Amino acid sequence: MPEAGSNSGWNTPLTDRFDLSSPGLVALKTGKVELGQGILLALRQIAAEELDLSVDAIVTVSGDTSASPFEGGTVGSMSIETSGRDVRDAAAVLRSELFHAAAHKLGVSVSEITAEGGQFFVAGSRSEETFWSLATEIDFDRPLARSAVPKSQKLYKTVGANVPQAHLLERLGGGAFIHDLSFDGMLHGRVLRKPHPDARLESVDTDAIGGPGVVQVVRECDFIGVVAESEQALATSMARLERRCRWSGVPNDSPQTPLDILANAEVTERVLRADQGSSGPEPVEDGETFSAVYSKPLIGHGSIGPSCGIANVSDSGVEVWSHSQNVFALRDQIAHVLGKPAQDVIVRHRLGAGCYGHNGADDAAMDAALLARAMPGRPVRVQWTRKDELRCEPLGSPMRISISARLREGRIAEWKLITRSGTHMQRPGWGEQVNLLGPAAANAEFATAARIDLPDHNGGSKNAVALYDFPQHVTYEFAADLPFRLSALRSLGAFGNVFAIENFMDELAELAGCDPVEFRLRHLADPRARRVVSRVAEISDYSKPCEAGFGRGLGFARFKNTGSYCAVVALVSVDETVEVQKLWAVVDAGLVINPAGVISQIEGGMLQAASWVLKEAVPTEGTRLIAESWKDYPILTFAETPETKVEIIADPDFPSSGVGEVSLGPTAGAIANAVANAFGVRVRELPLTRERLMKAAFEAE
Amino acid sequence: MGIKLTVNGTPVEVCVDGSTPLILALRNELGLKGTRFGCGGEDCGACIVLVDSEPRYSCTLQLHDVARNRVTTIEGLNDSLAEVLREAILAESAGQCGYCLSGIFVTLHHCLSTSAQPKYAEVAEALGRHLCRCGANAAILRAVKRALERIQAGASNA
Repeated sequence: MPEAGSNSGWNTPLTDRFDLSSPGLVALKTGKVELGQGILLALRQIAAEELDLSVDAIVTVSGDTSASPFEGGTVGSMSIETSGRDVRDAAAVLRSELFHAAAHKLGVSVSEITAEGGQFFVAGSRSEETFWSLATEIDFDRPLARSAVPKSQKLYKTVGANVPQAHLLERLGGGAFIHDLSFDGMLHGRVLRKPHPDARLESVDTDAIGGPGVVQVVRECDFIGVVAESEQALATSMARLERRCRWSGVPNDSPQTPLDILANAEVTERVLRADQGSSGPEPVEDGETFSAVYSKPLIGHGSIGPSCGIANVSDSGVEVWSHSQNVFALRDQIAHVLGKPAQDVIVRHRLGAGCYGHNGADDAAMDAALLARAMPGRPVRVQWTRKDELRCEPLGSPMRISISARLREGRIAEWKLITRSGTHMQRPGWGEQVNLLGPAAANAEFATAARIDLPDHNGGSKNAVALYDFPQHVTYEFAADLPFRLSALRSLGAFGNVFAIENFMDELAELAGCDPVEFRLRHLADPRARRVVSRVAEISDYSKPCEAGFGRGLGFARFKNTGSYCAVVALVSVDETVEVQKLWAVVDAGLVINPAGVISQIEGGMLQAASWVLKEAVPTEGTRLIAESWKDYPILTFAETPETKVEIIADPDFPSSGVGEVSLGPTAGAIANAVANAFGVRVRELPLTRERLMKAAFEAE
Repeated sequence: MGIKLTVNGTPVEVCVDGSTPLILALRNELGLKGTRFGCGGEDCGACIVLVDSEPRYSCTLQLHDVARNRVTTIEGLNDSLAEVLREAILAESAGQCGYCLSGIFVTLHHCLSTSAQPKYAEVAEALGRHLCRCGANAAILRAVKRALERIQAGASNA
């Protein structure tokens, strides 16, 4: 049995990567998981290319703690960047081993052999041997080394091709999602969530909860849930339970918004960059300096499918099914909370609805494990309600970004940015804490959530340093103790930071009397950056004047300042409402594996960002989250969907970089700049609602 | 005594309480898991099925509401129009996670089959009862255009 799950995707034997035991198929084992982003198809394309197999001949074993290599979480737009490279190199090793085994068996030199579809040919003639006939001849237990040279990109046929996303059609039927799993004897459970993180369960009459189909009421401290025979019986009993629980410690309503709370929070400061001559201008209004403050509110992931998890706890071990982004971290926390060794817990990934970061997936799995502990040997399925999704999932932190700058001769001479945020990381196990709702309610030992953000230039400080060339002084003010449950949401701090930077670039361009594209290029030496900015301006007719009530705007960023480049132009109209008419993007992600997949991710990011910019803010009363349904947290509708156009600059001279998160910040900048151009007044607070615009217009008069 | 209804053309009898939401009967009693639970409140459209050929939210309909009606789920849509829709979805990569797509597929099938000459604007408007969080909206709308072109080309060839 290989040491699956205990190693990285690289320092591991070949057997942790590949299984050739089914003739005609190569099983690719990966710790990365499918979240709707198409990663498994891209990894299959990479492996198929190296092995000269059809994509259909590559099947994946993904996110199974008993069978997949540990490769960290499926996070941070890193899957193609890191795992893609590892899969390519490992497939090259497998190919080399198979070729050497074939040469040995056939008594010829490696250079005389070719292979197509797993069939070996000697000098063009079909041999007796295939990948599968020789699989037993190679040493799968030898640790992998980057010992084989991958195929030349000039020969690529599968990488770079629009291999159709056939999995989409499979998802139209039943069985594709974790929600569709069913097991013999499976029960249905749910936990009643606290009305507030500080709430304590004073009393509950558990005897009154029972009824037809109710199997068990499980209570541990403030954790209370029901296990029932059917979903219907569960729903009925949960409604009874909700009426019969008395909670204390729920704070009174307060008029403070999350941004007010952030503004008044205690912070720790870290200087991220201090260029020479950038001690920061004093905010003196001498005509050359300018400053502005931007903000983004609390935002949710809002998966269309509710979080779901299934667990079976028995004497022989714990088996869990989850749509977690990191099954290994979840496994460790389930083992920790249940007091079992990690090897007794298996977590298997199954597809959930798109998550866009750390949502309720891990909580639902842990809920299932805690309820299943009370029902040994019976699988328990937990599916959250929409209200739980809206109120209890981790959220994207509010952010406040202050920038001031001094212009000299049409250039930015000094730039000072202070970004303030709560954490963007509270995943299971982060900061040595469990960070999950069920255990926090059940046991004081697990009640404290981590209070540290990701390292500098990630989390809230991601993209706080601008890629532009001017002397910068950049500070991160981290508010560790915000009274909200905050964790990773698509692009983390980059969304707020890029939104602010790109707005401010337009404001400074206006001050300098310069076209915003020209102004950016003036401060942008990186040729790849210049190319996406220039190209998006070109394809969008950026410089063409707009009719009254319409406006164009541009936004740009390089994700993390080390990943993909993306520039976006928005065309908006401002009338009774703000409407995004069209979005153009140009992306440079280096070597592209599947162009349709890249377009999908860029476009998805643009539309999600449009939703955040125009509509989204989690409704609160003080520190309480109060949304009941989608009506209280509206997201972009089909009627509000703009036309989109994405162009890829595919430059295989640069390694692949991720595309899942790069388009959000630039889109926010583009839309906000377009709205300012259309409306004549700039609103610096998201979302850009009609009410905010009217208020800003009134104040400007 | 169970509740009798017709699902995908087949008469069935379901032995659960009449107040059970239709979606639970479809998924858990009849094993038709292509219909998806999203919100339980008629806000997202993931659960849409056809009841006597009209799109309805299966999360709020109760079983006794549809006794004696004809219910069609995505599993029952296998005609040439469904094939046109599948081709269009694949060609436009019209979806990401795909969770919202079953309900959207049912709505699109309904719109394209009930009108002799379906108009893009009408079909797009019908998608107003659906939400997609992956931002596949634009690609789904492109798939609608593609399917309409195929249907119109087919009609003019006939």
